[in-house]
Amino acid sequence: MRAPTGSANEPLLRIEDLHVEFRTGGGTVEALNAVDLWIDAGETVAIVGESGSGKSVTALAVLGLLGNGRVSGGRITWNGKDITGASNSEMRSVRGKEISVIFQDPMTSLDPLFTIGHQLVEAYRIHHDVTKRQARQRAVELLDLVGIPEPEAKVKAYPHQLSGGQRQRVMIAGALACDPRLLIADEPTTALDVTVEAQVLALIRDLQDRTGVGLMLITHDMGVVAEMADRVVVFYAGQVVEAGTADEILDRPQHPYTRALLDAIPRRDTPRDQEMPAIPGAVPALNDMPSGCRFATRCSEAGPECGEPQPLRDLDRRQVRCWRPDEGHGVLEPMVEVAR
Amino acid sequence: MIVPDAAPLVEAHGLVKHFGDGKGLFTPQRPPVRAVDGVSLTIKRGETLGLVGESGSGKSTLGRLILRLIEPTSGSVTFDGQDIAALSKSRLTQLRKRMQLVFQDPVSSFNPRMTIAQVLTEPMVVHGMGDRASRIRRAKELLDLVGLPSYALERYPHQFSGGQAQRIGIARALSTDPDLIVCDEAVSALDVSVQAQVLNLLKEVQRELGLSYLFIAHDLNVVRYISDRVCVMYLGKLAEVAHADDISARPRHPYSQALMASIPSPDAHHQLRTPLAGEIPSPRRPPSGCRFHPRCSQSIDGCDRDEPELLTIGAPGEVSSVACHLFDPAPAR
Amino acid sequence: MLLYAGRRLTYGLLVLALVATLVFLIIRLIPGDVVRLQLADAPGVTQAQIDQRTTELGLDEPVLIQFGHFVGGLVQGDLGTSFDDGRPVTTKILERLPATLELGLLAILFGVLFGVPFGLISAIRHHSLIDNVMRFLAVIGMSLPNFWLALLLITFLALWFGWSPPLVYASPTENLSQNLIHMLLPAIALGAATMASIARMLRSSLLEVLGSNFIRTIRSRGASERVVVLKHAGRSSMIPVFTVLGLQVGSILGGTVILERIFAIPGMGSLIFEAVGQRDYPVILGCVIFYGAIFIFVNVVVDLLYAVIDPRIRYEGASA
Repeated sequence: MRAPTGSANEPLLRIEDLHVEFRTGGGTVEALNAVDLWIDAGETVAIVGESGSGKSVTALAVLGLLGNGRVSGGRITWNGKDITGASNSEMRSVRGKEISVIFQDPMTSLDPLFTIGHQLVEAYRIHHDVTKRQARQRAVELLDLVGIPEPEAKVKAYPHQLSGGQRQRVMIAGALACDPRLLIADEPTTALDVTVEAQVLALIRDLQDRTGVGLMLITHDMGVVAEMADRVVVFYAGQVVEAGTADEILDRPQHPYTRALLDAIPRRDTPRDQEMPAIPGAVPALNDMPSGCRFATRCSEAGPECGEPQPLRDLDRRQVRCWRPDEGHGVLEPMVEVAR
Repeated sequence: MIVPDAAPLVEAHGLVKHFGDGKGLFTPQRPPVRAVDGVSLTIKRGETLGLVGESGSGKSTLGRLILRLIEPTSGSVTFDGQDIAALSKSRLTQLRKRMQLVFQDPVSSFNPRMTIAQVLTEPMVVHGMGDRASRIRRAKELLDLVGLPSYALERYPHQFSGGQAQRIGIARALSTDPDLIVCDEAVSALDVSVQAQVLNLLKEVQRELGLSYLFIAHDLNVVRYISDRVCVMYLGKLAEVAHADDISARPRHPYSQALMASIPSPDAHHQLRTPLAGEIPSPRRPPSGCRFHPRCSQSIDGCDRDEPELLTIGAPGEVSSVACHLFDPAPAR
Repeated sequence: MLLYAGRRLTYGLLVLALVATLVFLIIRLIPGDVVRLQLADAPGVTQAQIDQRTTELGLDEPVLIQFGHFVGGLVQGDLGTSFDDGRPVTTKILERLPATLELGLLAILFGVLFGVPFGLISAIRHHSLIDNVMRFLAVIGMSLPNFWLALLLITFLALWFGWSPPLVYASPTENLSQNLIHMLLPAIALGAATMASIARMLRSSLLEVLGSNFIRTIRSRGASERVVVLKHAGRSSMIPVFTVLGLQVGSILGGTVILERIFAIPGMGSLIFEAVGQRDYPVILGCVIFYGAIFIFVNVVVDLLYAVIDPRIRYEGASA
């Protein structure tokens, strides 16, 4: 299931054994521990996990925007080129042009002091040597592309004059200004109402169909994963715990965490007189990680073997960071039982 | 758990809250924000009433009106038979003991320099409950009730995770032994696994203490799970009030249907939801007639003209009511 | 936008009226009698002469009537005549205004010219050695009284370089270079606190803005750090910096009173100094009103600049 190395089918983005550290007041903490994932051209890969699991850090590491963090190990390969230690100026030619990103909070992600037209023109001209007039034409096109009505008039609007949904459309327009090959969407709809979320996701899908842009979709919402993803990578406490196709992961989750996470979501038909199947406890702190399986303390199936560090194992058509599936420990049966 | 025959705990009648209709020295007159525009509802003893709606629907304002944390422009709220709008300051303070609020972000509502013991006993001090020793004893009981160890008393708010902090928020709300807790997006900021824990806790507490909740949230599935009845709110008005199982299985109002269809489901692969067109209009200038009609796929003649009333439908005794011309006994034609 | 400007201007005028009233009343509380002060040296002054002088100056009337005269004159732009030499107060102030304005502007120029780059460097290289040094200097710059700094500058320049500033004032039209040399030290002494405040405010607001989400967006699109810092973060940081600048104009104006005295500059500061000594009420009052007017005018301009920089303020009241 791992993308073959060095072949003609080199994935667009490959992350291998990535470690990221942050400097804090109390020393360094490791936010990512041995993260492996890849994204093929035009593919939608959902990165799913709870807060603090390292999803956003992975995105920022790819873009070289870690701030006071640093890559302390592993490799990031973009389009066959190692960009792990790339300088800021090298990364600038990738950012926006080849890899673009939209962030969670559209209310604060646009500069409030400039018109949206100005910000789109700027985004385009960073990578294109064109006149302001030409860039302005492109800005109008982009607004039209993302479904903003009256784009000629709206280029003169300031962010505060737009609704949250419209601002997120403008963010998408800015991200797509230079026809990138990969769009990283970091919780793009978390701050929006469900009805607007549906509109924005439909827009992203439509734009993918039209431009063939690959999508790295970071989300905590399994519903969004089901709707959008070709493949899913599940993060827990700075590690990948399970990865595979969306159908595999959602229908036949193998890692106890993935299963518990899916169970904890209230559905439209969850019996109201029963307890929600919650995961006990909380995610361990980054500076206090267990040496073995990081989920063991909350896992209903943990045994003595879980005290050992768990590698990410290749299974039939997926990867799982748990020894049980490998043991053939009656994987499918207990799972069905737990999932009811 | 619901006490069916007794008088309801809370009855709100024609609640209206308009913001910013005052005219300043230099500010031109402009239409007020009609945050809540004529809402009537009841909360029974031991019941959880859910309140859902998009941002800008007025659901938080409604919650604060019911607690009289803000003054209504018009309308009345009766709590346990007493009209709280007519109460004197001192009587209101007494009544406040019996109604509490749990916020979305508990940590920012705690004083960071207070220990958890202080956080939990402060409401008891305000309401003159017990002496120091008995308050501390009660604080320990409360921590036990919400599933936290008693050594948490000596700690400070920032030392807790989001889920633990929300447990403390619930414990604080419980400290005055209230009859009603308004939960305003109380689980919205929590991770799914922790959200499930807090939902379980809220249900368990209700089972033990028999109190009522007004549960305000934007996630319809969460509201449905925890509530007995659900109110769907749109632009300051109630669109539908229905039994919790009905709201998901048989949503009647087109807006409830759209909201239900908008929830992404982990079980439906690669199915794009059919997005509801447009966005919620400004509550300064709500549409004429039915406020939902510009976005409604089922609107009929007259929806843009006549405002539908919230009418009880179905058999007598059925809890559902809908404000939609499609359900008018005499259709507006 | 016009509405906003009108509102700011009206508030400004209201504050100015309040200031004029307060100063009028407070001035009467200064002990000492202007007539006795003027006639004290003359031998054989009779009570009749004193009474006559009092009547001439209009000081025999009740304070309320005096206030009425003052307000009546003020709305016509007449600040009365000096008790000292009988010349119109407006004329006396206008003679002295240019020197004070020049000194104040030079002080602001010094503050901005050095404060802005220091703040920028501090923010970009935060927690580096150069940042720590600059922050230390900024604290010193803010805490040293300007007159003391001026005296230090004079003393050390004299000791080390044997240089002292000219003692005779030349107006910029007579001798520009001499004028500027004369103004140099007082402008530095006066602008040091402004420089320090601007540097500190710019540093902290830049650091805050550089951590904000929209800056991350702009970086993520491949913009250069120059564009990120100077254009986007810089523009956002301008509002607090202008606020500080508007408030600093107050302390600069206050500082002119003593510094003009130390450096023998014939500006409004020395005028008010002399007038206080002589209990020359109309001149004191006139000067204070001028100072107040300048300060309020500057701050109205600052308020308008907010609106120029920030569209959210510009469109306030005309919501979408």
